[in-house]
Amino acid sequence: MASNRPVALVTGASSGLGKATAHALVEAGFDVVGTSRKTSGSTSSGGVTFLALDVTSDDSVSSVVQQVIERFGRIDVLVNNAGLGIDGAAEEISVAQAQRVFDVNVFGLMRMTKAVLPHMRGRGRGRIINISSLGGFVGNPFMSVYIATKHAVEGYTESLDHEIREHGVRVLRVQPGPFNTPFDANSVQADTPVPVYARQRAIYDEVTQEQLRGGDDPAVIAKVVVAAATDRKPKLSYPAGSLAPRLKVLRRILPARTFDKSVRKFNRMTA
Amino acid sequence: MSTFHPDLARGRFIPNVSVGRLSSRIVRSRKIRPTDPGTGVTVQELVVPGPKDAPSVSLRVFQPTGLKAAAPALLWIHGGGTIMGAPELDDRTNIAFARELGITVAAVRYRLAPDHPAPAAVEDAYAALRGLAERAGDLHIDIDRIAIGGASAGGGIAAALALLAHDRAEIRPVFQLLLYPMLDDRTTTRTDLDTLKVRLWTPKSNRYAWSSYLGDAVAGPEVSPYAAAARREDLTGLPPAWIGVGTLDLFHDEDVEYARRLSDSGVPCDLDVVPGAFHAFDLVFPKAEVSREFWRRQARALEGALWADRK
Repeated sequence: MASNRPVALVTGASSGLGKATAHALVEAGFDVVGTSRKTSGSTSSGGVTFLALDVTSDDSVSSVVQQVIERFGRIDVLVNNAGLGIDGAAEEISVAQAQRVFDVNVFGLMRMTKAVLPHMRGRGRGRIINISSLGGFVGNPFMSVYIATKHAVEGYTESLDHEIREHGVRVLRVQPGPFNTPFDANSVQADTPVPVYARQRAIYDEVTQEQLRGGDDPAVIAKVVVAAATDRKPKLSYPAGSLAPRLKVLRRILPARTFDKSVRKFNRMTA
Repeated sequence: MSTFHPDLARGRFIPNVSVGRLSSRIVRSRKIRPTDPGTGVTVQELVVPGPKDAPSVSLRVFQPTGLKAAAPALLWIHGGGTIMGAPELDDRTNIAFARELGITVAAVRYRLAPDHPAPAAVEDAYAALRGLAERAGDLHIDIDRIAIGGASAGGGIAAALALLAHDRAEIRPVFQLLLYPMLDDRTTTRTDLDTLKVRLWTPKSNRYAWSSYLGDAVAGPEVSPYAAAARREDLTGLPPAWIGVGTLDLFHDEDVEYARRLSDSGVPCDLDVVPGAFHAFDLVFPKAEVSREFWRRQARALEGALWADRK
């Protein structure tokens, strides 16, 4: 089983960006293990070996990492892709629901990271690529909880990257904008709707649908993930797609008030 | 003293420099590059609880890939005069032990002198031994077949650890593998040594290292056997040992003497004296035939002690 090809582990690889990333990594010469909640047992498709993994379970995480190391002898790249979306006003999302989203998007990512680090540190090499978001550095109405998770990922990534660089391991973040996947279908609905937000939310939904339809092809983002996995001199941040790199520049050069106005205008909010 | 072993003739050109405060500090600050074990062996850095009131201890663990059933283990202690070095020093031989013998090899990252004098190093090694025993289940380690071993200062710490484990009677290592161990601080006061052909570890380095580890107590009456194993009077009841040392090693005499005393105390001890070999020759010239043979003898000794049922 063990070969000399580098080994990548991609979480949430059954659909969307994770699937595209897994296939792009196979094409780039990696042995790829993809995980998802829904896989039963271990199956293989398109060069990707699938394992069942629930990132909210400590046991599941450590057992999957152990299995991959036993079968392939190493993990060169971990792509923390598994994540949930959640739309809704902050008031409409209960704390319990927010905690569940954090448990996947943030603590799941931390569990995976902590499970592979002893191995990567031991080898003195390795790369962890965290799928962040445009929402990792820009705020947007009706996405407060999702964006909070991605801001957490941003800070965790940047801090950890400093800690373990001297051990030969890099932690990077890929920041895609809206792209065309069933991610929206996987989104969690706010559990406590508040009528006063209904009108503005309907507008937000419309704007988002437009955005997703005109969004990037996941294969474009996957290419950026592969670049992060293979660049000889990796960068901490990889904004990906058509929107995120531009917004990153705008955020940096526009005055705060102008940027704020443009976000409101974009979401068709008054004043 | 004898002449250089023919495989090690190039050793003649190694300058006989000593280490002191500054040079050991510089060496300490350099990170040793880890060796990629390739396929067949996996590596990870484990953290286990440290000694009482001390920080936790890190272990560099090599295991045969896909190890499923409980297998023996070797706790390895790197050399460097107690003042330098890191587990990565011995990656090559440790990976080979794991691969060829099918055992787990755990190299302990212990605290170094003079910042952490005795007994920090040996207590860290003990904590590592206990950590391995505690995690025996998920690491697939057979706690009744744990060997300890080390080179140079690490050999000395391993010998001291054998004493400590014997006295505390919690975990009983079954074997001690000692490569040119640094056992006796009293060697620092010897004046009768012909050290012209000694390489890599000079009397001056030895004095600096022992006084870093023991402070003012060095060569005095108050040195604990847990710091300098040769100080121990009663060697009965210790695990069987293998001791290897070259004739051009500063530690030759103290190692041969320790081997004799072990045998006299009824502890089975194999002494392997390599003619014309200097300190750490197998690290400097790993590809020389004499170095390869040195490793094979260690592997055979370990195999005999840990896989007795295979024979």
